[in-house]
Amino acid sequence: MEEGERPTTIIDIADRRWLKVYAAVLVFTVFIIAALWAFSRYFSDAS
Amino acid sequence: MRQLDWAIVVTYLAYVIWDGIRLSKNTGDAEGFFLANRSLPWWAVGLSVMATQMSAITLVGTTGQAYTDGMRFLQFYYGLPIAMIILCVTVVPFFSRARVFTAYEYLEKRFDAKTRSLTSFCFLMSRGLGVGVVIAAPSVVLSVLLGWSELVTILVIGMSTTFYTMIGGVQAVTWTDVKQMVLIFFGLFVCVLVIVSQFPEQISITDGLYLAGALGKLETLDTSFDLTEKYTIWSGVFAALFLFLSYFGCDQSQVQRFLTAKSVDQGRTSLLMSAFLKIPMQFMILLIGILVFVFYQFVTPPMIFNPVEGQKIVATQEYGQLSENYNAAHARRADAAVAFAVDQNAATRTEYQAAHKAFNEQRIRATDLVKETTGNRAFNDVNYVFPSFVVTYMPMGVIGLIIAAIFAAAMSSISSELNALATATTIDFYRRYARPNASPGQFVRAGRIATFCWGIFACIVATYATNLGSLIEVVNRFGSYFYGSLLGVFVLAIGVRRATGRGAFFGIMIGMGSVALVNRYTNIEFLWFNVVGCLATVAAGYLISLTSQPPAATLE
Repeated sequence: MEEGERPTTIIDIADRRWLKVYAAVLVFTVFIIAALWAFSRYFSDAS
Repeated sequence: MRQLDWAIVVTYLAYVIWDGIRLSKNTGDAEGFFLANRSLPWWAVGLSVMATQMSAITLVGTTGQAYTDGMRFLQFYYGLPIAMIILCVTVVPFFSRARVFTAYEYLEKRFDAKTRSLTSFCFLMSRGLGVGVVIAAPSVVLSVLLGWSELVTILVIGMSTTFYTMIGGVQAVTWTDVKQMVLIFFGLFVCVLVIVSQFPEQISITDGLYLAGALGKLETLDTSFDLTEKYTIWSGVFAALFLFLSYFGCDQSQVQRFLTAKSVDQGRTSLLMSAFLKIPMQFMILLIGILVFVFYQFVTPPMIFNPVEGQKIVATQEYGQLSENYNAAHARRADAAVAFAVDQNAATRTEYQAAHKAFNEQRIRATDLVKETTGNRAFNDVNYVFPSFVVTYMPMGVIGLIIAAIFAAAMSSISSELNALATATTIDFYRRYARPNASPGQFVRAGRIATFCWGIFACIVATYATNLGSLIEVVNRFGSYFYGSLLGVFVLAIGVRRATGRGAFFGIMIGMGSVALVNRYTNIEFLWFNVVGCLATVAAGYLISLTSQPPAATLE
């Protein structure tokens, strides 16, 4: 959506071009939290 | 601190002031002084967003927290990427297209002048006191470690930052933030390398992490749902989400960052930079605290990290025996740590955990003795753990680098906040009520005078905040009363077409009142206050709006 155009749907408000970027941020965040959890378990459960 | 360290700190301070003044070009009108003519690239704005959020107390307090409490604090940031996406979808395009200087100016376009003035006034009070605390907290720590008086440290941090912010405006603030972030990243990286190099020969970084893990210091995910527990995944993803939405989307000190971006897209990218980098960066800061903890498994840590307070118990009767027990407990723990690192089995692990527990008991006795001797029941030396380690064990040159990084973290937050306070004062009050038709030069002059006055005010607050622990609590509580309601009024403005000025104005008051009641009658952790304040403001604001005429047209 170009600047100045009025959004009509929630997807327009989010701006279609950015949806993949937002998805990438969410996937990256889940990956990081999972990796941190695995890191924590790996070093905590050893013995 | 040796001469080379002092030279690095002095060079940093001189450079940052010179650089700030040098960057004062194109600040002849309000758009240039307050918004850098909306011309800054996303990466500079993104680094400035991160620098503004990371104060010195984040740097020294977070490392200290990791030392004492492990990595649980990391969960606080899990909601940040979600908050950034929501803000990219909502406030970034709304504020940028409305061509406003302040977030609160948007509220007058959507509602009325009194809602704008109320929110801007609350921001000025909350942030004005907050800057004082941001100056005071590192000043107390640095004054003890550098041997300066608190007043001198406050003036060095506060007035040098005020000076370049006053001259250079937002342009100077942003570009110095960028350089300060580079210095902080570099300092943190060097810090990790130096700490690991100081481990005993037979202990690798992996062994160190096993040691920390065995004591539960590496926990990054607590799934228990307990509203009285400060750091769980739920408080991070839900309660802190509201705090981040309010802080990054409605607090002028952050809103002003993305308003300086070249376009809506660049403003969005600058916020998403934090979404990608904040959790890994915070992990690295916490890891430093963990590595310091591992280092102190083999080297006896000070019984009390604050040397001034620690000195006060030396003359007491109990000190001799306590010191002996403390050293013996540490020796036992060191042996157990080596045994566990060499041969990781259930027996060595149990002995190591028991030895750590016994050592911790001695340390708790020492802090209790300080509390009894000084009468300060709130005594806590967590903020001294990292700086005390730096000045005692870091090599020459690195000490100067880390102290300069702590100064940089403090100054990068203070400059953005002073600039935002000056902008809100000038645009929301001076231009709105006193001189609507002043010349561009007069607005810039007003902005500079406001920056100077807020800088002086912050330094005065800082001198009191160093002595009055309760003042810091008052500031934090006031902030948490206000943030949820602030978010609520912007939700009404952007998301509820039926909302009116009357609903928004009284909604804020009811939201703040609800938080006060929750605080008074429950023991819910403060992060959840933001959720309560926001929901109460939206619900009350909507219902009150139904009692008045609907707005004529909804502003996009």
